[in-house]
Amino acid sequence: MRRTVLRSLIALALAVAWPAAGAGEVLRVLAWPGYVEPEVVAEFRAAHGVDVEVTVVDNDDALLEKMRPRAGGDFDLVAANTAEIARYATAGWLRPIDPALLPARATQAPRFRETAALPGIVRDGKLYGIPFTYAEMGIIYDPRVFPLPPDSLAVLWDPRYRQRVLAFNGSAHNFSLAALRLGLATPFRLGDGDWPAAVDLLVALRRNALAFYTQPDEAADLFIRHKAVLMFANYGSQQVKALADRGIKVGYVVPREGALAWLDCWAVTRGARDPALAHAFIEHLLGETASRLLEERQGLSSTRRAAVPGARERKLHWLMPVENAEKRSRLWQRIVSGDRRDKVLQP
Amino acid sequence: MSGGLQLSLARRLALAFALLALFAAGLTGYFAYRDSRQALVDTAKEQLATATRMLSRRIALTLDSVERDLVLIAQHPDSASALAGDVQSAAHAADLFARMIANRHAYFQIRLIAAGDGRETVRVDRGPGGPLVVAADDLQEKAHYPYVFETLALPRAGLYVSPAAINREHGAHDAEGQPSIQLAMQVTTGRQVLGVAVINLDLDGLFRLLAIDLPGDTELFLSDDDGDFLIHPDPQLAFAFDRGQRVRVQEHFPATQALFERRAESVNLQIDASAGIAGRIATFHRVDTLPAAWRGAGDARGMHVALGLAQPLSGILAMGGELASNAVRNVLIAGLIAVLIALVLARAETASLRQIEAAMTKFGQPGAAPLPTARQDEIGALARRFAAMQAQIRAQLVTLEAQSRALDHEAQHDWLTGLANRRNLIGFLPQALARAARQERRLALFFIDLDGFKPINDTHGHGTGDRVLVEIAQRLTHGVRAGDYIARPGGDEFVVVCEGLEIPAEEEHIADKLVRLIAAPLVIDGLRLQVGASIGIACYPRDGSDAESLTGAADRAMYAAKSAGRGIWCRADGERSTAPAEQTKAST
Repeated sequence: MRRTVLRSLIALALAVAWPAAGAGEVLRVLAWPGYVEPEVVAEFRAAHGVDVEVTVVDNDDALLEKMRPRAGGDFDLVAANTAEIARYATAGWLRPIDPALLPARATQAPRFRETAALPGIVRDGKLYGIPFTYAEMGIIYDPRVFPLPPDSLAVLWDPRYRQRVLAFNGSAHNFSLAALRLGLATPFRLGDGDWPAAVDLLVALRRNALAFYTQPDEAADLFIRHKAVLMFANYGSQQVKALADRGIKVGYVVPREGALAWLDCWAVTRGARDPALAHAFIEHLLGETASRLLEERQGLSSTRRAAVPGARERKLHWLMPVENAEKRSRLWQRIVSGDRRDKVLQP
Repeated sequence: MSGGLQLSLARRLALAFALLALFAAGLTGYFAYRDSRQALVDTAKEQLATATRMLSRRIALTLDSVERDLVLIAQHPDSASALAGDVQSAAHAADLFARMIANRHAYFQIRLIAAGDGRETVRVDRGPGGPLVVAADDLQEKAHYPYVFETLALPRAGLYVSPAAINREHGAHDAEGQPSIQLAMQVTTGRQVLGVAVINLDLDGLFRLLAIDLPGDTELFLSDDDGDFLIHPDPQLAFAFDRGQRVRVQEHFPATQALFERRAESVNLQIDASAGIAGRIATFHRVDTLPAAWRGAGDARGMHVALGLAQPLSGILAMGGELASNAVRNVLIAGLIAVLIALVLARAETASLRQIEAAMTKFGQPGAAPLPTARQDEIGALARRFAAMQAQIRAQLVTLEAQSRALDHEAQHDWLTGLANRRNLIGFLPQALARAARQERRLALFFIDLDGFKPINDTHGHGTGDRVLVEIAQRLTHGVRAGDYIARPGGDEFVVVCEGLEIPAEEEHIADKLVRLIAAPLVIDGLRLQVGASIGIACYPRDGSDAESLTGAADRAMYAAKSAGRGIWCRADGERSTAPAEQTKAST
């Protein structure tokens, strides 16, 4: 949901695709808005004499629609999040990546080089995705109120900050947040017995929160006007930047429970016409130009650095499909509408 | 040929007149249609602009009345008591809200929400069966909704108006999933803020209700202050931001940008039909209402929307369709009349020409064809000139005929005696022979040569000789039967042809008489003169059946008579008269 919104906004500002000029070899790339900027294509063409044809999608469903008809055979390269990469790899639509062809991986932050720790991109010992961009959902805090960064997620429930907390209006993430707070093994798998406790936590969060925002602009506006001191940063460091742009200095922290995070990777399709060239393009995307444009224009983090200082030690929970998205949505709808615990838990 | 030419001229004239008339009628019709079409569009535009302004005004008035309702609720003693925990007052308030919802079709919900925990204290929803008083267990906590926390952050008596949004509040009955806006006010007692009163408005219902009397094909558009569509004829394009997309009025109708930059209050558009999109006219009007309302705890005040009405041009021009068919009918009638007038005119014009043509055709025949000489135009002048020419030519023809007759006579007759000449004789003889053959009658040709004429000519001069010849001619003329033919082929020779002889030897008696006539003495200028005649006689069919043989026979017989002693006649077969002198003397 969050990514859909963000990327839709970006998509509107961008051409859907810019077709390749001239004949000869063409690299067919399926990507998200802002991932392959014209400058990046121009540099690649200058270096390799190959044109790049970019097809842009702005949500996971559209991506799947493009991939499905010929098992990805219409493209050489595809950008997708870890969950989708896992799905495509299982379907046999991807070809393993040869890390030896990607020396630029050395410039990536260590957590993105340790691919075994990243979910979904390694299958049967083979690497199917190369991390490209990510965001973690940390906690924004007012440093005047918190001389030291809050250590735990629990601060969001602290009655001292009642109605000065901003949370996000999203069912999957909020239940994952509750799961983190409950200390479950994975935030994406709520056991049958975990639901009442999670609901209790979220009802309590509702009572402590000023509001549940959906858009980053709305969040910044509420944060400033209502003098909020804590905010669950669903959009990550992008929101820190948005507040800084409006003259508000805030702190940003990944609490000790860790933070939810999404990660988009590049993958080479099974039907890639020239796998070596596809690898060369990934190598190019890991370079200076693509990374810089990603941060400057999209406010997204490249994998060249870890965005949150000191966050390296903190765990990032890479988004995975949740155990029951429909149930999370149904319950969250009741919670956010103001129902009491018992009513929320009704079948 | 000339008739065809005349007709084609008439046709051509008629065609030219008719085409001109049709062209004029068509042009007039077209411009009338075009102008009236544009007038229709202009009128429709004006009406649409007026309707949009009216609707905007109505929206403003309606929202004003909502504000008044809200003030009434917020200041109602029962509201404060209910929020303070009085159950009786809560029941009264619920009763009041239910009645309001029953009467205000655009109200989804009316609520009292406590300030402390944000719990709904009194809530009446609009449900499928009418107002629903929401019971205790179904009451929800709403502190985290902007209409609560923003309203509580307002100054006293401040009015809050929310942005338009799809209502995602679970259990909101009719309001759930529907576009709505909330208006809210604090409920206070003295210095204490007890809670908020909230009216949840049915956005679609409100606008559909207000626009109910618009023509059926009118499309209603509504956008928020940023231009995002809230109401669009295509529901997929309304509240797109709720689905993570943006569809804005400025992108669909670029001219409306002026509204959002506050450069204009109203924008009129005409969108011409293009591939797949029907042409239409549209008016967008900026509606600034609820000026006292706060849109949050910030400085933003008032509710601002852009209201648009559009009408397909086809609908407007459907009215023009009748106009067009009227115009076409009028053009056709005018054209038909024009064609008839053109035909009549062309015929009238060419009638005079046809008269002249008829006169020309009859030229030279008896009887005068009428001419349009009375006309006072070019055709009249032509007719008069033609009439004068005709008269002149007729006169000349009469003279010419007379001259021709004279010349003919001269050619066929001897100028001196007036008798037929040799040429005439050559023409006459075959005809006479043919007649004789047809009637099976005899014909006698007498070849007469004067005896003793030369001495007269030599002695007394040609003048006297000529008078002798004239005298002889007169004697012959008077001497033969009426109908007998006399010619003077030359010199002192004469020929007499007698047709229809019935008595045998009748020619001989005639010859005798001719000899006697010629031999009678003549008195000319006191001179007593005398000539004789030698006559050769040839008879048809006895002596020849054609002119040549007959004249040859007569000629030979005449020479025989001459050599036999003059003054006698001789037949072609040699028989001759005797004692001519005696006979002549005896008869004289």
